[in-house]
Parts: sequence; structure tokens; C-alpha cells
Amino acid sequence: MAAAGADKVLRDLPALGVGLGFREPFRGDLFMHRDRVDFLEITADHYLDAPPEKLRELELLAEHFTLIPHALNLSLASAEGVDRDYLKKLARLVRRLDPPWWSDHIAFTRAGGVDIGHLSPTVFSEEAAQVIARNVAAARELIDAPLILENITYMLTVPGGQVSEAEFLRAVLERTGCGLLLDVTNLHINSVNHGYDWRDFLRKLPAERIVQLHFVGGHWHDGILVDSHSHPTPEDVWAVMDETLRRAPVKGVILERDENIPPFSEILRELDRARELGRKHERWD
Amino acid sequence: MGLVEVQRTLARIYTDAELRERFFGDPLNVGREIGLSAEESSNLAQMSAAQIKTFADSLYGKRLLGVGKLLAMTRRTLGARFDAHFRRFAAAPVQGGTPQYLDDAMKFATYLENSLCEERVGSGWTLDLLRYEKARLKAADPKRRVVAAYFRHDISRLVRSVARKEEPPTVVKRATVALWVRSKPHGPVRYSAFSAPSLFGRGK
Repeated sequence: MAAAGADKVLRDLPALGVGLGFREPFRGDLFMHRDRVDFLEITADHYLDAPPEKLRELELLAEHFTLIPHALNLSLASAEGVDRDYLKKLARLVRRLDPPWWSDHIAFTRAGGVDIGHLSPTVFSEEAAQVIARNVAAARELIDAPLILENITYMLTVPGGQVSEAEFLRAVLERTGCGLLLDVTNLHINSVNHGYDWRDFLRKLPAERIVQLHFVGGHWHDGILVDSHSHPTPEDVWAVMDETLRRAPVKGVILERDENIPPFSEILRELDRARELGRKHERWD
Repeated sequence: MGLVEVQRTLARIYTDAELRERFFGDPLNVGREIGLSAEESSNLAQMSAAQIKTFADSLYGKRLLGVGKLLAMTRRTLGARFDAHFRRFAAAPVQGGTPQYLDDAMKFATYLENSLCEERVGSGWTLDLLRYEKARLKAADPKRRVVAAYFRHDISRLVRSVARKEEPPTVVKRATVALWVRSKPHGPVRYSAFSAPSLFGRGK
């Protein structure tokens, strides 16, 4: 996709505002606080081979919220290519929901018939960027909705890298024409664990490509900051979000709380705070 | 070494604890075993063994979390014993890497059922709770029409009580058969339980 065309597609995406990663424990509260949650992100993988109960849940959610499918396992960085069966199921789901965009990660989750079970970093190299571009092109053959790619946390550096992480992200975005789902928690965690300046990292990214943000809090384990989606968003991450919203025409932000689920009032407080930040930078009403 | 080979080797090293330990102990020889040249082995061995172990541990933690959610009542009831059993279960290498949660939970439930039977501790209601969660997981398969399970306790009351976090839970010894039935594949599941009259009165 030509850069100018990609930029226009991303610029024209609707501003969705502030939303929540849908998890079953939120279901009842979500409908009671419909006016404070602008949209939902659903984990696509939960609905690919879903029983009828799950699909009815999806229909109910879709009647009340804009839903963004977020996939975990397309393995876009796999040098072996993407799993066609998985891609077909994902395409069916995305077509069913007809979302403004959908997302997956800059990572590989399987190789050589082995399912790793988690998002694994690839080499920051030209070859790896080409692989992702090829896999994104395969996904586009079946899915028309714009794809945005998420940065992951990584505990290890794969040898053979030729560029920095920020330069690699930029190269991937340029080659694929995709938007960026910038997980500001992941950015903060990587900056702490790998000792770099997140502001400097942010300056190297193409701001006009940042479409959506993820945020949440992690926890410390054996001297490493872990992306466990288990704690309130810390002040350092709010600072990254503030700076990102200042620099980039972000269309929506999603709170991703998976573990140690707090009372919904705490979730709403975080959403309200994100909403205020977006308003301050005139990203949404 | 091309990216395909790098990723294949990494996937094996991440998910196979025994191979990982051997590789970092003797990269050249173990690398040769898995088809790497001396240079390729040397490149991969530059990776921090500690970082890879941390990543592998996170895979284990994620797996435990996923299985624990699918067997939530059993995990809550057994506490640290659940985690200890899972650690032993997960130590065995798995063909194909990290299993899908549902498959993993089903296999672990069978393993745990056998282990609890061997241990012969407690009153047996924990075992019923585990069997209930295992049967419910089986019934989640939309292609299955009928799943039946036998329990030594009034399973519906027990499940309600544990779900409400009652301490101690309401445990009534009463032979019970539970059924999960779909009228057609991919149709909604209906659950019914049929109990014999109380045989042993109210137990703990």
C-alpha cells in the first residue's frame, strides 16, 4: 500500500474515544455504564471456534458497542507464513463485525509445528520486516478492514538484529502501510527493562500512523517489570499516554485489564482519566 | 541461518525445558543434534540463558493461569496443591509446544483426578468438583450432543456453594448423575442433575 494512501485511510478512521478490552466479568457492569464506555475491543481468538452461547454474547455486545477485533495468534512475524485456516476464521469474524479497524501483534507465536503459546519477539532486521509485510499482504487478501499492528513487550533480544526496536517498528509500518496500535504500557515496560528513553523512542515513530493505544498496569517480578495486565495504570504510563496523545492523532484508547479484576468503579475512574487526557489534546469530545 | 530456522529453533528452546538446559550447557554438540552449524549454535548461544528461562517461565505461568481459569473452583479449593500438581504435570514435554488451554485443562483434569485418587485425602467432594468442571469442559465442545457424569455428592448444591465461596461449602453425600445435552450440534447446552434420595445424610 502506498504511504500516502495508507495515511489517508488511517486519517479518515473515526475517532472512537475511550474503551475497554471486553472480559466476561465486566459484562453486567458494562451495560449499566453504557454511557461511560465508548467502544470495546474483543479478543478475536475467543470467537473463532466459539459455541453458540459465545456468539450470542458477541451479537449482544455488537448491538450496543462498536467492537474492534484484536487477534493474538495470526503470527504475523512468522517466516513460515500465516496459518491459512486461522486466517480464514479470523476473516469471517472480522467480516461479521465490520469494524473500523482490527489488530494483531508484531510477533510470532508458532514455528516448525510448535505453538509457543505467547507473543515472541522477532529479529529486528530487514528480512523480518519483509516477512511481516508478506504476511500482512496475505491477510489483506481476505480482510478489507484496515489492520493496525501492536508493539509487544520482550524479555529477550534475538541475535541478528540490525536496527533498534523503534527503527524496526517504523520500517514495518512503512513496508506494510499499517497503522500502529501503540501499547503505551509495553513501551514503558520495555524502556524500563531494556534501559532506554521512551520519549526518544516515541520521537522515532511516525506519529501520523498511531491509531489506537492500549494501557494498564503490570507488576515487578525478580527485578523485571512484567506486562501482566493486573494492576491500575501507573503514573509513568499515564505520562507516556499524555505525550502520545499530544503527538499523535489517536482515534481510540483501550484499557486492558485481565487479572486481579477490581470493582468496576475503579475501571471507570481509569477510563474517565483517559477520556480527559484525550479531550485535553482534542482527540475526541 | 535464515529467519525460518532461527524461529523454529527458538520455538523449541522456549518450550522444551530439557533441550534448553542441554543447549546452553553444550551449545555446539546439542546444536549439531538439532541441525545447527557451529556458527549458528554459537550465535544462538549468545542469547542470555537467564532471559530465555524468564521467558519460558512466563509461558508456564500463562499456561497455569489459563488452565486455572477453566478449572477455577478446583483451583480455589485446592489452592497451592493445584499449582504443585500442575508443575509436575507440566514438566513432561508436550509435542507441538504449548497446548491450547482447553486441551491442556482436560488433560490436566485427568492427571489431577488420578493423583487425587492415589492420594486418598479429604472427603472426596473435591474430586467430585474436579469431575464436574471436567465434564463441563467436555460439554463446551459444540459438536458433543451428550455428556454424562456420576458424582457421589449432590453436585449442583456443591457447585452453587463453592461458587458463592461458602466456608465450609455445603456438601451432601447423595449419588447424582448430571447430564449436559444439546438437541443438535452447535445448539445450546441444557444441564440437568438427578440425585438419589440422601444415602448418608449431610456430610462435611
